Amino acid sequence: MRSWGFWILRRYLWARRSAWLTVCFAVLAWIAPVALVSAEAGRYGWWLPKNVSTNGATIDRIFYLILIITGIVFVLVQGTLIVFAVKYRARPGGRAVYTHGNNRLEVVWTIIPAIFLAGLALYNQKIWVDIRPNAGYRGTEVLSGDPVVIEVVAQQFAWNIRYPGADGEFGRRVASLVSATNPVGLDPNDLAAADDIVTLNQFHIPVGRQIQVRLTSKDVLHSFFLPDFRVKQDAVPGMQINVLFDALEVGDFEIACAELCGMQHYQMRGFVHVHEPSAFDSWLAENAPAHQD
Amino acid sequence: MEATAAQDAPHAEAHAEHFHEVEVGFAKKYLFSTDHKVIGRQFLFTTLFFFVVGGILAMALRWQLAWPGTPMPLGKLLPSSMQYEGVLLPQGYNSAFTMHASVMIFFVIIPMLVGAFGNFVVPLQIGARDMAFPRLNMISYWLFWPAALIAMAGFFIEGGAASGGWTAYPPLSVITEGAGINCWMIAVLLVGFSSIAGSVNYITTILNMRAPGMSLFRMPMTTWSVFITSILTTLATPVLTSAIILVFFDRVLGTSFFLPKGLFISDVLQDRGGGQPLLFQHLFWFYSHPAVYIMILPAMGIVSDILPTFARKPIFGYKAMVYAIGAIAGLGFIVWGHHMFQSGMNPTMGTTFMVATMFIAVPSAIKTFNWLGTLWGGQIHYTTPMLFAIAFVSMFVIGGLSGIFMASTAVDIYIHDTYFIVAHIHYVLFAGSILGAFAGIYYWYPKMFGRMMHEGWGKVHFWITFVALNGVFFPMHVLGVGGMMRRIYDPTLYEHLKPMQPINVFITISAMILGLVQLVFAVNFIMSLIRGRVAGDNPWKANSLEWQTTSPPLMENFATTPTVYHGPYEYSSPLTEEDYLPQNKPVEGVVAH
Repeated sequence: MRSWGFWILRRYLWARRSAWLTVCFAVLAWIAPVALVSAEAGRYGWWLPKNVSTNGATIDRIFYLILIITGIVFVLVQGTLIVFAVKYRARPGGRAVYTHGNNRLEVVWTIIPAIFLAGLALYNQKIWVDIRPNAGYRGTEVLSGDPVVIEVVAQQFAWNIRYPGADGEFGRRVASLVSATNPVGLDPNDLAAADDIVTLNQFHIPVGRQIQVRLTSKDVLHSFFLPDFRVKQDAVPGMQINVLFDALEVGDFEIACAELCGMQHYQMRGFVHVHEPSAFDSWLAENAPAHQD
Repeated sequence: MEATAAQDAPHAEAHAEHFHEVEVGFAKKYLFSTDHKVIGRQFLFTTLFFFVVGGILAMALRWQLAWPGTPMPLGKLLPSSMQYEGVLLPQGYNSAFTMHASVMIFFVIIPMLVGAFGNFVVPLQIGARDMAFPRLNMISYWLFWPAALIAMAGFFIEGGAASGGWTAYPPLSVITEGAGINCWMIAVLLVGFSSIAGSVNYITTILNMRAPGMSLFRMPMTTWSVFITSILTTLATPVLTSAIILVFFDRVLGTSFFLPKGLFISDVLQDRGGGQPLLFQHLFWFYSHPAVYIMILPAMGIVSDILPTFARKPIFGYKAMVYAIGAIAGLGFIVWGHHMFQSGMNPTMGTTFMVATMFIAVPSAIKTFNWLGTLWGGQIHYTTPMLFAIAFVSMFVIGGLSGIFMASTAVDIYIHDTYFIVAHIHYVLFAGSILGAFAGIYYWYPKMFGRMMHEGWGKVHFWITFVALNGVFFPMHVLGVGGMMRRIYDPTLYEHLKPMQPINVFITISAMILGLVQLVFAVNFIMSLIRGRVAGDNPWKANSLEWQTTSPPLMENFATTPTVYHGPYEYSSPLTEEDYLPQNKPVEGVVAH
């Protein structure tokens, strides 16, 4: 504590008793660690995971836009607050300004945020319709770009993932047929079901193709969260919700459940494997059911 | 102007004759009192007690998140349904966050801000002798105890306390075994009745029992905020009550309001169907979003009263402040769907709620700018309540700005159900509501108990709380951006969360400091009751009516019913020598309000 820098600082502050300087140092003491941490955040994995989807890039862009706008507002408002707090501290014999307000100012500081927020709402809406087209919601539409359709059936505490197989058609599911060996309740009497591929927690997709997940749940609410793809959608029993995204990179990633689903909610972890299209096709072929009814 | 205002305000004396009993026994005086001041203090003591309960649960959660699966210090003292050999169990963890939220919302923040401050302050500020319905007031306090005890009982029964989250989303809340959730639901129903009873009482009191001259636009902001909050409570709480009753029926009577066909639970196909889980979320958030405003508006009101008092300046834009509260309350009813952007709700509805949510930031901005305007040109006295009030403004800005990220449907896809949300809600509820409540306690303590709290220890409490709370809640934004999910027992299981574990450790250490420093407050609070400096009637030289009577006030508040001549914020008026002008003191010349 006896370093000379500290000693000079103390003497200087004491001599000047400058509230302004104290404030400057206090602010620096806050900004320095924050700046240091932010500079190093990426290196330590303390920030957005690297994005690997087209929608993710759009989401990150509007995230940063909002971060910049709110960052500027934050600095301006907190700065003003600190300046006022120091400048207008009580002085002996001082008297406050007697004013009840200013209507012109009220109008200005109502309209300016309103304009900014309206702009943000419009920009956000443009992105929202791209990521969550209303058509994608209904589940019956034909999507452009010939998507790879995969069904995800969430349950306590795992992800059942189903591919339509060689015929490109999902077989019928019957709730009463669900069992340990038939986790999604495939109907053996349905020909389309015979070649369906069902995996547990292993989600294989090809790179560069539009993926359409048909998401549902067998029991309670879950949420299908792929942090690296910026994908999140609740899985709701009784509903089938389409999730559209793509993968820009080959690699292995994580699936997490983001909606409380019970005691082992935290263990409901799955894995995304992004393959080259040819590797994906051979994976499908290797995993096709051996038996044919 | 003066005369018409005096006629508008109903005469408080008409209600006086019912309250002549002064000689009463101990139980009637301190336990089953109908005096709003006693009930206000009862609410204060009770909610401070539950603040400790909620805080201990938070500490258990933080310990588990920093050092998963290790025994907690004193962990063996927790109910055996939660821990084994001092290690928090997954079930206990889920109970802990469910009950932490429920306790803090239903048994601390709402009853402290509305029950304690509303009760104690509102009748005094409007110059009334008591609440309009004193017995209903007493009932609203005494409904609180069965609610709290039933909720707490959950910890000691088989299966432990409710573990489905304070949101209690079905189907999980319906299919979870154990009576803990039943206890929770009954408790929420009872506390809801307590809230509704209280708010009906506030509305009636404020509309009918103002002193002569106390027109609506001469009411202090605390009274305004409790008034508007009460309107929110009466309109929104019955919806929660209905939703909880329906989900309770699903649980115990086998109905299917929220359960769809084909549910397959614990390897058994359920014989239910025809319900819709999303319906519950709509009903729940139709209450619970306004509830966020129920929890923040009174704190805003308290801060709006404290800033002018210690800046010795009229509040900037009084009417704009009132209208902004009204706008927040109004818009607050059409933003609930922003909790459901990723729920499976139609994306087009997401757009509607996104737009409404963006615009609710406007009145919040208006409030912030007017608070800054109040400080501008003031003579700021840094008392403990003022420090808390200024910190409230600063922290509310963070909570408000982080809300814009969530309002964006696109960004919300990523940050929904992550620690970003946890950070946001704690900036609003801890750094907002709780700092506002602390400001209110330090400010009205002399009026409540006739003695001052110790300023020096108050400042120690403030500064450590302020630094520690930012150490707890700010890094949570980073966790959220890093993709850390809410409500997970062990974040170290996930590859993408492992690198962030040091942040969790840092947060937990900050949380321990934040928890421990509240002891300074507790000791200061208790010691000042006995040894605090005698306050006198008006220690802060404030204008509103509660300061124009004795501390603590007489049985019926005022020796004679005060007459009000002007607004509550006439500080540093050129018409007076002193820098304040009590509302009941006439003055030569024209006062602006």
